[in-house]
Amino acid sequence: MKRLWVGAGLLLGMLALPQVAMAAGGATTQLFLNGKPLAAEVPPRIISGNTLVPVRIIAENLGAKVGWDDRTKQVTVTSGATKLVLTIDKPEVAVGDKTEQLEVAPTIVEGNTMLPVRFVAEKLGLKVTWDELTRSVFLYKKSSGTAAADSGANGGTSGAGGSAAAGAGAAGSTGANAGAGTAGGTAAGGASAGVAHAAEPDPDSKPGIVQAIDFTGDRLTIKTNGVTTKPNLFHLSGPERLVLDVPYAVLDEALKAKLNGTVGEIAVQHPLAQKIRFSNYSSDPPTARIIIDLKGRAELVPVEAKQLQPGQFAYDLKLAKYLVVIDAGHGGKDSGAISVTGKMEKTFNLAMATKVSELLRKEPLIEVQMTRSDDTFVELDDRVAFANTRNADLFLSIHGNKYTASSTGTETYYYRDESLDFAKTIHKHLVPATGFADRGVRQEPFRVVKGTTMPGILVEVGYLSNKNDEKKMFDEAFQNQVAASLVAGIKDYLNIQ
Amino acid sequence: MMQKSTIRVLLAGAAIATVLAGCGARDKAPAAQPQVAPSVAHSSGNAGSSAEPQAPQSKPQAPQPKTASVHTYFGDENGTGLVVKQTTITYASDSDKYGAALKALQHPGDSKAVSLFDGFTFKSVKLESGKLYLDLKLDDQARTGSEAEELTLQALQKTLFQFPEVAEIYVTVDGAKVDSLMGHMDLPYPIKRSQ
Repeated sequence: MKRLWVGAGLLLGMLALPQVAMAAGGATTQLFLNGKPLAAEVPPRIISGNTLVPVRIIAENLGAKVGWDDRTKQVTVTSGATKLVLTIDKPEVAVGDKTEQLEVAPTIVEGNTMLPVRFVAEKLGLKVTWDELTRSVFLYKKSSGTAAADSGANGGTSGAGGSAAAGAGAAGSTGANAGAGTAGGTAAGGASAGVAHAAEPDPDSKPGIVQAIDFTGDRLTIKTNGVTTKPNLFHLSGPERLVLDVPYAVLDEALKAKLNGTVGEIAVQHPLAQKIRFSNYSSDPPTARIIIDLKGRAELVPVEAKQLQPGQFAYDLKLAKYLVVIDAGHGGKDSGAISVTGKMEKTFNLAMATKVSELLRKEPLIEVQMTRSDDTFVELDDRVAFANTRNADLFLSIHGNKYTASSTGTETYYYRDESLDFAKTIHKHLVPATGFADRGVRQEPFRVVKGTTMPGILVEVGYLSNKNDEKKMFDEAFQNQVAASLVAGIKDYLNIQ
Repeated sequence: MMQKSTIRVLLAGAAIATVLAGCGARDKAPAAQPQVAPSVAHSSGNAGSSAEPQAPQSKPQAPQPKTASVHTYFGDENGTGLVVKQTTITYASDSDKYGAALKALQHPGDSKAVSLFDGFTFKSVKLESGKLYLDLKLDDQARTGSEAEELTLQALQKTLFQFPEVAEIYVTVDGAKVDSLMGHMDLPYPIKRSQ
């Protein structure tokens, strides 16, 4: 077990950190675990003064096991001997064999189960503080080793308080001058993968040292003396940049000498990067920050440690792919519409979705995932959650229509205004490919286009209740042609040549 | 007040006329009259029987069937909107009224209106203190496209919420709650008037 105990002094320091204070400009609530920002698929919500966070955060970062019973709408959180059973929309919580009342009941937001973070975290033995100024929730995890002794010995770390206050002031100026420009910044999903196991070192030990920062080819290499743990990687937008915070580390003298004021710069020649900046971002806890200012969408892919020297961390800068989720409507027990010749809509949908996905997989800038790739039933909310939790860039649901025998034509549906352009672009490509009547782009609150958080649309390719439409829709060449048109529409919308 | 009772009388008259017209009434609904204000007008079974005395039943104590004129909702030809009609329904007791109104949705009566409930079986329809419990069975033919599902839900709500005593609709399929009727739209449980 790594040591995770954080002293009261560190807490004070964190509250004064500039990136936190500046985040107050944006309305979103930030969540920190031992000082590291936690990325959420949906931002924390404040309801009647209580912060609710997606259950995934609790599962992945607080070391608890989370179970979900769809029938009873109950979430079970288990950690060691602690067991909590929470129910959606109900304030009663079972804590072991006792029942307690929540001020605000768990709820579902955009397909994410949201739990009151303070209640759950405190039951799991974490310390929780709320900072009104920065609208931030700070969670502090104690190591299991000190937890037992902790109950009576909380004062043990208070001695650090005085020096922390001074440290906080220094951190303030450093951060501000560093020009990290974090206002409104949002940590992108998945970026903070390393957070949970980033340990807080012993406050008495010496900080690690960042000895060199090198960018060659596509690779950023950070050389340290081996004391520090894995840097925390996150993405900030407006302007686009990637940030690496090296925890409990300072720049060595050679790098410090290159600082102009508090920030140093490394010029780079790269199609995706403008420049690299670095600073001693915070002094309490000591944190060295490296920022890549981007020219466009890019991501840093960590290089495996075994390829590197001890104490080195390396990342390859790559064009960030667009994630497109393809949703084949219906499936399993839900056959969808039955066609005029007795064929099932779910079969058509899956054939089309598979063809579209195969074509998209050939696109170097697109990553594709299917909500179902075989004949399985998927609830509408699970389709929505599938796209939302993956932070998809686009969502496309494929259906076959049914009304009367004389109905014919192609329709594209959207619901949220941000999806309209995507709907129009797809429809423009789709209608000529089907050759059916153009029945227009329409707005309807279908679950999958209503609940998804990225541009999301649903296409009704043609009418399975119409003899002519149906015959074509089960024709291989027609399907290929329509699949190609959907891919062309996606690329058109994403501005991919 | 005056106006309301006049309409009431008119509708009662229409009901009598339909009863007189005989059993074809179910399939030949009068043309749509969406401007008619009251959604439901009752006429006791007596009105019908006084105009057209029926042969006495073998069981003299059997209650006379009741009739009501209700709005019924169908898909339009294009499948993009609803068509509303005025239909007379016949039912044995008040508790059967809602089922009778729903069954009327399966009989559009003319080619310009499309039944949105083909393949539906209304297995159980019960009203308990404002809560209408509706258990459905959907056969393969019941499943339509996305827009038609939306129209189906609209038609269901408009038909049942025209009865002021219905506050909420609890829809189940084969006795079980479902997230969606046909895999496109939410199916709230219950459906409330505001939705």
